[in-house]
Amino acid sequence: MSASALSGLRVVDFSWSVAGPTITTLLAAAGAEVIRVEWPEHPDPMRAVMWAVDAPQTPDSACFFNYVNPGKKAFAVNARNPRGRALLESLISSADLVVESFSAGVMERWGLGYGRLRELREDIIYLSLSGFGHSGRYTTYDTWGPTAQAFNGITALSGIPGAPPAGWGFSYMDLSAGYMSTVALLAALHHRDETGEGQYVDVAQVETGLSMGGSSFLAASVAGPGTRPDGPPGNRATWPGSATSGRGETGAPYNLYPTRGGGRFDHCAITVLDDAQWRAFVHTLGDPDWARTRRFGTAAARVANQDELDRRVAEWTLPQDKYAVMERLQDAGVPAGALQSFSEILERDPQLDHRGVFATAEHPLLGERRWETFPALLSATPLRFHPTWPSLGKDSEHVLRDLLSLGPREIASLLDADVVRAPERPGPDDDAETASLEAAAPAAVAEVPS
Amino acid sequence: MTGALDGVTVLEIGDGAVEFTGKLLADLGATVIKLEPHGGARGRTVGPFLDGAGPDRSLWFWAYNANKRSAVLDPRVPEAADALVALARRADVVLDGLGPGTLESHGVTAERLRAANPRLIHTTVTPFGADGPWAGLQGSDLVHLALGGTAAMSGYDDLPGRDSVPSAPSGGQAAHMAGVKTAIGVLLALAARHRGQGGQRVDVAVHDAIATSNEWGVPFWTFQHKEVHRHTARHASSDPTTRRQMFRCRDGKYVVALTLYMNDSMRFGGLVDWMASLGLAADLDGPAYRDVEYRTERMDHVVEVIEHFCGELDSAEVFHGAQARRLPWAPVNDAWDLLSDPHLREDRQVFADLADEVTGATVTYAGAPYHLSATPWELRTRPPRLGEHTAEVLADAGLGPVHTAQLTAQYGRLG
Repeated sequence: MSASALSGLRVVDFSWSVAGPTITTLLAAAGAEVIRVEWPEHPDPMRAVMWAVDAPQTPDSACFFNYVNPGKKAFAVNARNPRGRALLESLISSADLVVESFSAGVMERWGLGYGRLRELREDIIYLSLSGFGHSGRYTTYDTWGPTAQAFNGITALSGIPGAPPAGWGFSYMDLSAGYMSTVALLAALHHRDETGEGQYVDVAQVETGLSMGGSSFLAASVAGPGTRPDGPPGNRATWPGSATSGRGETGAPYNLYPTRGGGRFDHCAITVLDDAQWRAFVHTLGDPDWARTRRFGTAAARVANQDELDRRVAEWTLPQDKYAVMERLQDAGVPAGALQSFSEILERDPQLDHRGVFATAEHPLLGERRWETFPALLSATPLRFHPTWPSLGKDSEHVLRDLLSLGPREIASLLDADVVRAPERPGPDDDAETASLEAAAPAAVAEVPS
Repeated sequence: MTGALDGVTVLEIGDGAVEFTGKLLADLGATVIKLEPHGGARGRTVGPFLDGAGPDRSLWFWAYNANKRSAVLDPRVPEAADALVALARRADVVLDGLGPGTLESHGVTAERLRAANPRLIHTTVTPFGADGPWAGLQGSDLVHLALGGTAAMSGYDDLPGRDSVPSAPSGGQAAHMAGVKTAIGVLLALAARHRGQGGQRVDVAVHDAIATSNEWGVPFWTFQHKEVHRHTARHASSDPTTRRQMFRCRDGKYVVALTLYMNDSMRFGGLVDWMASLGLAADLDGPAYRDVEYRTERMDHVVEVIEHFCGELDSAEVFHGAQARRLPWAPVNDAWDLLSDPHLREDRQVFADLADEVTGATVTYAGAPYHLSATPWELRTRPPRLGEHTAEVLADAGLGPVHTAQLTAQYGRLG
């Protein structure tokens, strides 16, 4: 078994929802020991949403929660209790990284701000991910993914010209804030590796998306009056009525075209980026007369006349299967791709299968499912999908016994006082009395939504 | 100030994703040398331009290439390929975005790079990977967003006459997602090197990066065996939904008004009191709506009242009023709005200005995406002119003056 990039590193993970766990899941896949801290009275909100059609509905079987949290240990401890906080302080003393994604101010209220963490471990790297950041007039404002991407300009980048924004069908800013935070965290780790110095990393979810708008700020800062785009840019390479690229590419045809079937996934992307691709495209269409007219003779003319061009292309794509369009054009060297649905991504896409992007693993409550892996393939220290999931309190006793070196008496006392919870208590007096959380969960199979 | 990646040297070759990876590393302090072909990187041809087209006037290029150095060194030329290997000997990271097999075909093989520098982190970013059934296919931003699922998730369910139109978000997101994941791969390899590993290969396919960037898309299929339905400005889901959340305000701007806390009586009560104070609560301030179940069953009506309410107020009033009541609502901003937002501009200082001495223009860039207390993110130098650093880059690599003079005379231009 080959080595891991982050072996020997311990992460205390207070994060919840999506953006924060995206960071720590990645660290776990790269070999760090990630200890997820959670108190069942204030569970991660993702434990209450998205149920499988054929599995029980419990906090430990919520689908998306499990999808974004594999490979972590689960320590159920009450941070509001002084004894719980003492446990967390000793755990942090032994840790390298602390990650949290609460609203601004929560960790300070628990007495676990950066100042205190640094007293506990001088070279600690502490990453705090909040909505609008830990300073400034919107510090107390909250975000979910859709709020953050509306605010920071990402929502406005999606949609058809002349219509309201379409936005994103998911919380892009949860994922991208998670990935961007990971870059900051690993850079801070590099600095610590080189110098021994830890630091505090303040990340605001809305700010991580500001560099994901192409040239938008540069253009806005130098633009003359009347150049502000009116409405969304559409699926094309350039903004309507201009040569300004929204995608770092130029050319036409460039769009999603309807294909046979007429269903919501029956579209194919076709993008002609240069003259050679245009010639190959026209040849694939059988050299139609319209393609030889002056209106489409140069790249600039094709961009200027792309309403008409798109109608012509759509006439060609409409009777064909989307994969057939893709194959014919790709065979000719023209970038084209079917609009794939998620069944197609998981079950038909031969390339994702070839590269092993989605692992298959059996979850104790959800059964055998497909799981996303991190798509950077490192030859010497590969990331690994660990098929374990942080059911509430699963590793509490391990943390107390093996990481904090507490004896059986102390552990029993912490469990008795409800400072720490564990799914099972093999203690001498009452192991029959404390039911496992998993066993206590309703066993009924969820109704299949209509 | 010192950057977190001070002392790390990166050779960046290619466009798109590696350009974003290079930016992320450069802005954290790495020395990033951009190797460009004779006519310049593709980004230099992409508009908008400052005062007319030209390789040194593309704002698109500028957005991704501040803090970098530019050397014209086209590996298609045999001497340049040798120079590239000499540069790799002194580098920590090579970011190769030229496409599968391209560098190899010019004699710069992985074995040769490893022999030159066993500690090198040799990173390749390709559209689909180096082998496999789709390895030879051509990618583009839109093609990747279509094949990878993002366009399947996003679009409209309420455009008259155009049922369920897909929208592939703009901005260059395929490059961003692949680029940020590549940066993570590179940084993990640096961490591994510190922990006793030598150099290694990092292999990223843009297609893989997009297919793993769709949040609930894959889970809907693997856990529920259902395909997604697209919805205007709200989450796609396994069944059609009606709870709209984006509304037009009096000033013409839209707001996203999440209804996810409407089951919380404190927040719902705060909203209704606010609406009532302006005479816009309709029937929501009646006793019936205090009951969670009652209002949950009538959420479509609640949404209609919220929509009407938003239409009577300016977007800023809706934003600040809602957030004061712990409702996570926000306006749909564009770059113009953000440049004048006081929290971002004054309090957080998230924009950075760089002057360009040739055009005399001062241009505003997106600034720090994260605040590192000891090693701050920093925009240090304006984007390089094409080939501005060719001579010094070659000299730094220990290539003799004759060699340098030959290469720059043939293929580069001196700054």
